[in-house]
Amino acid sequence: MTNAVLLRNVPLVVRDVSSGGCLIESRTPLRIGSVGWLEVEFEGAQRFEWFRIARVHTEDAHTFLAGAEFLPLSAAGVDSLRGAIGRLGGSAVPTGSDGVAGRSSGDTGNSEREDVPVVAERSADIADSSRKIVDFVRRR
Amino acid sequence: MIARRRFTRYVLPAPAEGRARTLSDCVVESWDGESAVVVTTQPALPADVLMLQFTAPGGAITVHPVRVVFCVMEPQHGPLRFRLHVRVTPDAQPGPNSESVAPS
Repeated sequence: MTNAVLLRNVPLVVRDVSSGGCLIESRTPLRIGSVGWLEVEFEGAQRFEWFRIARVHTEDAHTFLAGAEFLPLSAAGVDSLRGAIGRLGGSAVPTGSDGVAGRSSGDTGNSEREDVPVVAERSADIADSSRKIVDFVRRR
Repeated sequence: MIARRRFTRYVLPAPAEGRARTLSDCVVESWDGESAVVVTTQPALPADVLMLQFTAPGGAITVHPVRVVFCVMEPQHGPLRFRLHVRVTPDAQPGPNSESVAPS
């Protein structure tokens, strides 16, 4: 007997994202605690990030939502998703999104991420229940 | 709950497509180059396409696309585990719960 690793490719879409994690939707259920490598197109470029599934929610029989926490295993590079989000901090255009229900991005707040240049949220922003939208088309 | 967030969360106006590649350790019980029996904590469905990655003692990595033939639960005590019978499929087509993959 020998040890090996099983890899599974799971197509998905990212619904929301922060520099600490993201909410992903897939047709395949991801298990809590699963670790993997995320590839997603963000701002016109492929971005990558290691993640761990923090929670899973079944939306319907064929749609699964998972909160993923990014794993800061190394400094956020130019192709890092959390790095890209961190750079957006001061320039993103906040817009109300009343039509979208709020969900956790999977950020449990347990990991230190001092290497990510994140602009601190103001208390008023945190208290505002409306979430913010990045206009990707305009930024390309 | 909102007040506990440390980072601003951004909603995407259009969901961004991508893919995740999840990893799970497994023990290879048998391997003949064309099929294998592996024990892992992750269940799978017949026709699922996975990749079986070996690391040689020298560090060389080989990856084999495999298709699940069937999966049975390990009836032993301890952590829940599954025995997967897989077959190497170089021209693997997407199964119902996975997409086609190529060795990297």
